[in-house]
Amino acid sequence: MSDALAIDVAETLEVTPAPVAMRPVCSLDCIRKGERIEIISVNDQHARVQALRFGVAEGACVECVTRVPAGPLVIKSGRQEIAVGRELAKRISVRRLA
Amino acid sequence: MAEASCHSPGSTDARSGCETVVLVGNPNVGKSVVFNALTGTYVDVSNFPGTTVELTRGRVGEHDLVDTPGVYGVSSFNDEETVARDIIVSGDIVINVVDAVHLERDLFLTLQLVDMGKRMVVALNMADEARKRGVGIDRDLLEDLLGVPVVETVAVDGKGIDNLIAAIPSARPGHADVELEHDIAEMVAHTGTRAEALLVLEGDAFVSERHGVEPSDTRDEIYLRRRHRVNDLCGHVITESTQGASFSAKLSHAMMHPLTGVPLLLALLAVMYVVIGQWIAGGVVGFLEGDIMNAHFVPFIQGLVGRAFAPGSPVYTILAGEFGVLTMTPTYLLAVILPLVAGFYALLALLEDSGYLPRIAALTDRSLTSMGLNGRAIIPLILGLGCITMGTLTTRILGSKRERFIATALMAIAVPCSAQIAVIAALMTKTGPGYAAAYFGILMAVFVAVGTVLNKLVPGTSTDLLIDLPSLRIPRLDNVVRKTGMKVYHFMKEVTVFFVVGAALISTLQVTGVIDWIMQVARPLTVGWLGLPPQAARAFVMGFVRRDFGAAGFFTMNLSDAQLLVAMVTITLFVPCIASTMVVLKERGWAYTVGLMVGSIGFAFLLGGIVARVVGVA
Repeated sequence: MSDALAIDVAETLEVTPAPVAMRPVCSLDCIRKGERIEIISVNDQHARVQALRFGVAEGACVECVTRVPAGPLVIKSGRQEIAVGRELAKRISVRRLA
Repeated sequence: MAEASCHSPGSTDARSGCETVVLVGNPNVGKSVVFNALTGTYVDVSNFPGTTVELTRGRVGEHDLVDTPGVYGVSSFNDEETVARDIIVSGDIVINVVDAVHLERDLFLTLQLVDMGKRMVVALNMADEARKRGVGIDRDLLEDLLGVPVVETVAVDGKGIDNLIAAIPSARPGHADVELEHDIAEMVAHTGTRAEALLVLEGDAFVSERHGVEPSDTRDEIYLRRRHRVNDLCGHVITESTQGASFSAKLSHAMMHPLTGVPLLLALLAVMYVVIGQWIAGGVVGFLEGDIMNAHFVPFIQGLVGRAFAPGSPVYTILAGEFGVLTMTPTYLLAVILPLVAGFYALLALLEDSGYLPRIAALTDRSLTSMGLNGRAIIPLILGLGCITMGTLTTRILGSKRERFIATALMAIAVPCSAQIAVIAALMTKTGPGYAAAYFGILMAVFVAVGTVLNKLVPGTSTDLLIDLPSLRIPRLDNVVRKTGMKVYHFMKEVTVFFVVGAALISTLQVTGVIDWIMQVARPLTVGWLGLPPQAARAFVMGFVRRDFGAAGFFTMNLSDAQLLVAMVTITLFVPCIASTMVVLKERGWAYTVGLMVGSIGFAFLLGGIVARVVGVA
């Protein structure tokens, strides 16, 4: 649910909304276009090193700009866009922001 | 390699004032243009091979300048990095060329060089591009934070080059990662140089072995810290005043999504077909081959050779006969292969420079994955349409042995080369449209089927797509021309020998009567199984010599439309020409090549026979 709604519900129920650090972790291939995410880990030996060089490191905050149907995801870090194959995306853990 | 250099590679004593300067940078930052601007020589150490990784050297002022292949980092990840690593370690001064538009990506390598303790200068290239896109970079602040001189350049216009040359004497080590100092100090005792100490800490197996130490497992931590430092730097020095152009974002999107991307790709293929298939293969090749080579060159050579050896004698046949080394080989190479290869490399350079190529890779990734490849394989496959030798050599860019295996087989079996396509197209225009469509349909189905089967059978794991999508832009003509020229030159240098040897082999077979024997033996197969006239056997053998000869052999046979379909399908699936076979041999080895020949011959005839029965010819 959106943050605004979550806050409304929370105020009614007197529960505080979950802080970012506690939000569930999912894999990159579950992310939709337009979502901002934080990279948690790249669970692929070969790719991790390359990803680091590109700027897709653990802790990086990126935006998903395109999702090719049944195909790669394109994430944007700063002005740089990187295409990630679907299978590889399944092995990258991320956390949704905002 | 070392004609007039200051000192031999690896040695540390040099004449005073004469040092080795190494040019380092990511792929596509304009390094070769900087090299040319500094030395006055055009060279291209590019990342799409058709060449082995080559060293290029020049002189700038009193110093030697060495170019390196574009790399994203220094280690032993692939051939390019291994070559770059050793040059950088032994170099005295480093000029690090970075792309002002993609600083967040490029500074990673910069900081690694800083951590290595190299004396360096940073060339902030494409400064004009950055300004045009509203990207402001605080050069002074960057210089302070890095601790090394930073010079703005626009290499293609020659701007800033004088400043860059003037900055070389002030090259100095920058502000390295403080947390590394302790570990590096310890490691230097073993490795001698700080650069190699860092490489050992980053887990480089080769460098570690060289000095008899164990590689550390601290690479991920070091890389992570470096990534944070880069982000921090960029946060301070970059200011963006306008948002990225929304048109280019929309176009980028359209290129990658199947609904719009596939029609765009088909449009590209249509343009390719007209330009390369008709203008070049039809017009240019026809002119060069017919009006120049066959009309003048070949008779001239035959006359010369005829004076020393009697026409019809074995030596004459091998040198100047139908498949003569001095007649057919130059004709084929210069009149057919050269224009086609140049056309395809030009196409690739256009796609690369405009930024469309990686987006095609993203579009096709899904389909290629089901065949054990990934989007990157589209590059050798496109080149394979030009010439199978080009495609096979380019499989070097693929990430795993498995992918190289599958891609080579796919090209050898199911991809017709442009020489062949031109002839087949000419033949198919005479048949009904249904047959042409059937031909394409069968070919596509075979391509997918072979790929899927290989994906199931070939052991090992393939790599996944992870590529940089540079911004879309209008290709620069001088870039395209320069890249094409260099690639064509290196390609011709590498493959000419295969075509020469191939022609010699075939001529020898002809002289010894082996070719006639093969044709006799193959008759039952061609007539009984495929339903084609007995002369078809000759065309198949010709196809092994030159793929266009193979297809052209069917011109004079007065085949029915259905027979033509059978013939075209079989000749396409048949083995590649002898030159390509030799390149496959070089790249993949004997076992693979023999397996491929047997497999493709068997498969070609099997499918040809099936098609023959389906259309009622046999």
